[in-house]
Amino acid sequence: MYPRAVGKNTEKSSSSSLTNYEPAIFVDVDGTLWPDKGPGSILHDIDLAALSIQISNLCNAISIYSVFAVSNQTCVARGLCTLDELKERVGEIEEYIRKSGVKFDFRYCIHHPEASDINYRIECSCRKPAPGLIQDISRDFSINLESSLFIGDRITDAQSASYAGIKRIFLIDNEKMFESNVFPINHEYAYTSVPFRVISSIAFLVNYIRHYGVQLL
Amino acid sequence: MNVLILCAGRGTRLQSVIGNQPKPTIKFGESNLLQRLLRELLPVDSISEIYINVSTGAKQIVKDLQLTHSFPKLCILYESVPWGPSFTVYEALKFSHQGLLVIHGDLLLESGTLGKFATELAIYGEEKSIIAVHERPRFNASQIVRVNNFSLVEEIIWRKKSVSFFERNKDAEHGSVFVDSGIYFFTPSSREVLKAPAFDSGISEGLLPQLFDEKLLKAVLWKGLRFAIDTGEKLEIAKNAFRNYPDKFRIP
Repeated sequence: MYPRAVGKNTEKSSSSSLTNYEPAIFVDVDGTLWPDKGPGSILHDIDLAALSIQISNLCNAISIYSVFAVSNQTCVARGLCTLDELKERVGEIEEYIRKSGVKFDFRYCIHHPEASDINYRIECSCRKPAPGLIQDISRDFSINLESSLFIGDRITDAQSASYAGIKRIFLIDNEKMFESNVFPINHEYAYTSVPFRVISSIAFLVNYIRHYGVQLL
Repeated sequence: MNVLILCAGRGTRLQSVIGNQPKPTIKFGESNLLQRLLRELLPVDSISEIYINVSTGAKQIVKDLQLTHSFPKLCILYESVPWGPSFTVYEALKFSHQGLLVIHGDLLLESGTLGKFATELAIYGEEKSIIAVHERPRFNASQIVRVNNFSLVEEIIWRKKSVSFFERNKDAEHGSVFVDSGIYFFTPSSREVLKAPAFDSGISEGLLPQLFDEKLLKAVLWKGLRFAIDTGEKLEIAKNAFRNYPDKFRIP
């Protein structure tokens, strides 16, 4: 049995008011919502106002107002911050985004197979490319994954989304797209193709949808 | 109609010549093989989506494609392990709910013919079968119709290897002939029949004969010059053809 994601939102949210099986927007954070500066990017300065506008624009374009950030956060496992500090930072981001009226939840995996702290050195089901985080969210919030969409920047993001059952997957064009953890050849997920489309930015996707509609995606 | 371009191969037979460079990135003139294919396929209105299957060398293959320019028509189909064409076709048919034209990514094709062919296939492919062709005019249409029971046959030009094949096999295994063409077409109903992928074998040893028996896979028409580049020898032949017939391979 694999451990589930650790973080403040891993238990079923009592505040969830989503009706059953609504679609949602899933997004990666490092390299997608804000610049990827390596492990601990979340601890750097983030322009929360710009981030909030970006998410609002995306929600308005697609007419989906539930956004879930899913992320591998190894900063604790690497000793860059404490779990409490990470929780506090995540809470700050969540609070700011929610002010715009978007339902926003931030889930993260704090495990790492080579973590310096043995408590986090776990082979888990929540670290992308495994689909655990998305599956947990789907279960907790009754999300229809097939009609949801995912935006990320790495092939591991696309793998995680595809394995969870999301069909519309977009990766932001970047040099590190294919730097990934490949599943072992005998792993069940190695026997799956992952379809995704490449976009230059979230704004690019928003503009496309505004012009041509979401149904063409 | 959707298109699947197979670019996930390891290219082991060409490694001594081109190293780890993926075959679809071999350049002929200004453009590489994959870019040449896409330049013909992207303008075809009847093609809804083009899946580019990548695995080994994915980064190199995708690097020069300017995917955002062709958004959302181009879709990457990534495999963490390249399981072979049978597996990839099986996976692609999960996503494609239309007829699927499958093209090997290591083909050098005469300019102007693939786009035209894709258009013809979109018009006729669903209801009529089309035959693969190239090189030497050794068979007439009636022979091919009799052997393969195809309903639409245009001018048949087939290469020498296939002559002996037809002489030896009048009635059976016609599927394996068309493997060499590197271009196949799956009807939409293929998805219903294709129950299990052949993970460890190429399409020629895997599902192709079965699909032909089910009449779900159709060979395709090819009138122009066409070179499959999977060995050093074939690469040289293609390079010579490219040099000797510049007008045939010039991209408009």
